Amino acid sequence: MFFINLKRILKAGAINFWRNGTVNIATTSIMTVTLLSISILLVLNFLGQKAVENFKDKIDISVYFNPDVSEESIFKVRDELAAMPEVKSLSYLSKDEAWERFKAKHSSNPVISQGIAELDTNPLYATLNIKAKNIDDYPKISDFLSRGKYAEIINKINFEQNKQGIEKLSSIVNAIQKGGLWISLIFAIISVFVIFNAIRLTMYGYRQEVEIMRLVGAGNWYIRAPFIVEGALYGVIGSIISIVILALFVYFGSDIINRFLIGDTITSYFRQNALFIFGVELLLGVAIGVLSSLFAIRKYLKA
Amino acid sequence: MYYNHGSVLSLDNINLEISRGEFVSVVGQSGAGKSTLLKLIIVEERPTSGEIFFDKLMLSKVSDYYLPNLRRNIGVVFQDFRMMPNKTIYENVAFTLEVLGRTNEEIDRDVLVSLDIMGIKDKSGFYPRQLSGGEQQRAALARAIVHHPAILIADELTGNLDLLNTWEIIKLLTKINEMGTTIILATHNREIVNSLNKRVVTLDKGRIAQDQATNGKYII
Repeated sequence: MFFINLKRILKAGAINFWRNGTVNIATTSIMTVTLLSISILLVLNFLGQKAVENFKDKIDISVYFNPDVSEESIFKVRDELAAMPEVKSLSYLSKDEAWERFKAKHSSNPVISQGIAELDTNPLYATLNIKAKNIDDYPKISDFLSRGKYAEIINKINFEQNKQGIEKLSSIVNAIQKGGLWISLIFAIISVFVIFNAIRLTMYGYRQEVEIMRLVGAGNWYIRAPFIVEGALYGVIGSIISIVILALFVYFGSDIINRFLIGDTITSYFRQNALFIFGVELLLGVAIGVLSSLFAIRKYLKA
Repeated sequence: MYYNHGSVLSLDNINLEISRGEFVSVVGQSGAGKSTLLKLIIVEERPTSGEIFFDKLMLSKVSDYYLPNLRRNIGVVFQDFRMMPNKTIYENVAFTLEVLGRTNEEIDRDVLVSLDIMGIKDKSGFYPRQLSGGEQQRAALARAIVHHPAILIADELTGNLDLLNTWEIIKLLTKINEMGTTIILATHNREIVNSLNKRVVTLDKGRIAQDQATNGKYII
């Protein structure tokens, strides 16, 4: 009997959905827009994170050592920095390597090439490039170098010139991350309220039918269940249409979007995460549809 | 039995006993309490004081959980038909049997028999909006009797019908009563009541003014 009833309920829900035509097209459209907005927010958050990580990755400290400093001394500095928990990576460029790279880079420029040829000695310094794990760690690393025991052998640290810019960027980055999340959350909540009200309006149209069902002796759950199925269908169909639109958006917009990314492309991100995004949309859509229908139909079920 | 609706006493000192298989017309002017009496029987309202019994079951004690079970023993027909607009005539009638847990084969057989009795078997695939008033009322009757209820409540069921359809419906009601179903008909149609020669209970301002056991006439 349970399976017969279940089959009847599923059939009734699907038939309700189909026969309610224009109203359901409107409700499904609103569900689609809601889910699409949330998915786009997810993708935008990802893009924002990636852009911020790219910016952070560009920041480093370059330490220029005095010309008379031995490589042994420089390696001591390097080893102490490597032991610091704030340091992510180090790269060393000896003065000779720096000179060879400079010559190769400007080999096609006759003016610079001529200037290089006239020089007897290598004017460049040995350099240590330091990347920190967090943007907020750079001042500590800079202090270690400029005020510590190695201050005498260091010619220049480029952090001090960029310090203000880096600190400003750090606070902007933090604000974007926090602000982006809050805006996404608020927008998602508003979207959920919009679709909830759309479904409530649809259920309002069924109030007469619910009353008749009660009068012929249908139990509350037997009355509710087809409307819950209908609510779930809004979510299922809405999520399918939404993921298709998102795929088209990524396909046609990838050229523009990829200009803001380095390394990853939006297409590769979408391919890796499409199933996850669809899963989130489906779960959210069905949950919103079912819960909205449940709450909306409840007021017409007084005994 | 008493029923208070807000500050208005809708029914006052109603003592009424209806036997199995009876055909009772409840008559009275608008506002006399006819519809209220019927609502109390189907437990859409509960009495302020007093008791209503359905067989040995005290209706005032029926819980909300058990109420659907009670209503499956009652058929109800209204003046405004109250067909489910998004279901076909067949589906409207079948719903009553689905609620009772009948198999698909039983439903198919009984629904078509019920529609046949009402003379609208060929309209089973139509929606209510595609039918005339008379046909919709027949469909509503078919839904009300398809499960062979013990009692059929009819609240002004000919109120929206023309003369010809009115008599057709009353003929069907009589036929249903002959099959053993108790009928309570609320109406203010004098001609119908006088032609039936059945029991007539007259309500006036919420009280029973008269109770004519047989060959009752519409007297106000």
